[in-house]
Amino acid sequence: MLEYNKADNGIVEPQRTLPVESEYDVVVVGGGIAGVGAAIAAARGGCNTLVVEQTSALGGLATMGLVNIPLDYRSGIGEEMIRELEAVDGHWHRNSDPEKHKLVLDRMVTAAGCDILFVTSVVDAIVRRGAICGVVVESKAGRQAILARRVIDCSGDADAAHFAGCECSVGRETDGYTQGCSLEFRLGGVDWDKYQKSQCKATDPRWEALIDRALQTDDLPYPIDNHLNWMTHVPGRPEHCGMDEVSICFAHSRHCKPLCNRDLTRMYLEGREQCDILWKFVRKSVPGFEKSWLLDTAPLLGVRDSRRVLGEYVLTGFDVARRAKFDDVIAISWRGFDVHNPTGPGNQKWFETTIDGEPRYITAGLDGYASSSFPPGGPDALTDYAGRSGDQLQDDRQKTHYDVPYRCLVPLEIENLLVAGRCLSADFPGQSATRLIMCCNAMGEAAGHAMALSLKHGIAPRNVDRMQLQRRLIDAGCNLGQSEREIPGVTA
Amino acid sequence: MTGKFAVTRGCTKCGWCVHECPVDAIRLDRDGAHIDAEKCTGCGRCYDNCASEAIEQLNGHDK
Repeated sequence: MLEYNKADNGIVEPQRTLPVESEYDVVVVGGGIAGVGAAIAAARGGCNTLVVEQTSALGGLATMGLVNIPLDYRSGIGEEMIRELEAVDGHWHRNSDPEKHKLVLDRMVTAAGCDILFVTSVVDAIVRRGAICGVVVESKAGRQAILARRVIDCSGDADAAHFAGCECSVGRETDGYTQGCSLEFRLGGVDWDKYQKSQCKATDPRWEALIDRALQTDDLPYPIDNHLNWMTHVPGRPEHCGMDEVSICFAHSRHCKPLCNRDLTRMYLEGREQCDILWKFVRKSVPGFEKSWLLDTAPLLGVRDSRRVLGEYVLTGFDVARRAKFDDVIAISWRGFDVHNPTGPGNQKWFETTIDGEPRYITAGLDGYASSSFPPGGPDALTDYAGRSGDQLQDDRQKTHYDVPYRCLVPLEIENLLVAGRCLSADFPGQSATRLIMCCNAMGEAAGHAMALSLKHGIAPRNVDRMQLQRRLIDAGCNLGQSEREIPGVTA
Repeated sequence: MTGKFAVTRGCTKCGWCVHECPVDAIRLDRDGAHIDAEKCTGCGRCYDNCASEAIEQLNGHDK
């Protein structure tokens, strides 16, 4: 037993020698959907790879968070994952079955030859001469060191990068608040056909009327976001027999500090209370839910953003809005903005900025009109990146993508470290568009391949030849938008 | 798959069906997605990819 001494500002931790638990070529911090892509790609690339995960399953919010949507963008490992899910009847309408998803990921990661360490938290980074060379972990075994030649931070919160001393931003630029956090829940015993035919769906006046009535009768103690549209049918259950299962994103916390365990605790407590109110309201009021029951609330809170690493390039909201292409593209997306109001109800598919002293409300396209809250002036105040509004507002989202450049994965300061997933280098609106499941998975895959190349050539990840990386990604079945445009030096 | 498709209710205006449609038969406006019945070939990609299950098959069996 070590002796802890008091100091004026806290307790002095005594010097100790940490046991080295293991040594790897590549350690992936976080086994969420980005970490899965990174781990599989690095392991298949011949790297001795470990993924460290603080919960008890892979997949992060896609599984433990019950966010079973949207599995849409098919590329590389993500496409394989969707095929594996389809093979076990675990995917339809871009939705997945979270339980089947867990097992699919367990099998894919272990089949790639990657080691997994569950129920283990990364609590520090080991940095020598400006380069990361391992992480400190905590688990039932206490505090241990895991050494690594390369580290990929897929923690979502940029934990490893932060502990290594990388500069990060948190939340929106004006007040530092992150997006609202949500706790998903699942209901069983749903008659989906009846619900589908009821017209009681998002944007329908009948749904609005139900909420108004419930507020008057105290079935709902507060107005809720109009998010019945994120009630997603879980595949693979007995269909059309009144026993369907749905996953619902209804319970929202605001003024969130997702890097503070006190506030995370507040959000879990608040979230479960909200789920209890909301599922009873749904059962009482919505056709098809009369016999439904609460299956579960998510073990993992839906944190949409926290730290964003400062990298060699910062992907901006304008890049998303103008469908920006970059020579060093490593992942693509079609997604527009998706900001869950940090301080009040509503969801915004636009962001506010100032141009020539005037406030502007920029949307990536017509999806801006799907917002549940609008800027002053309403929907007509929304403009595209070039300032067009109303009937002139352009929507190229569906037909042309935007790129995530490799530089968004490369932190400015620390060597041998890449980040991937929702903690990429982006501004607040840019992150809101790229944080979705399949884009995170693609970023992870690119980071895994980059580390394999970096080790093969004995160079720092930031010096990896982007063309070599891109050829490798395309060979592995990744969609870098090569069918839509030429990638200089690669597809010329 | 045969038959044609229409957006019925619960469209969230996400636009993914527009992205998926191989014949540019779907357009998005403020009210949601609309399928041009003339252009629709009935391939069903929009139906398969609508996360909200807002698209229905017309004159045919439910998939």
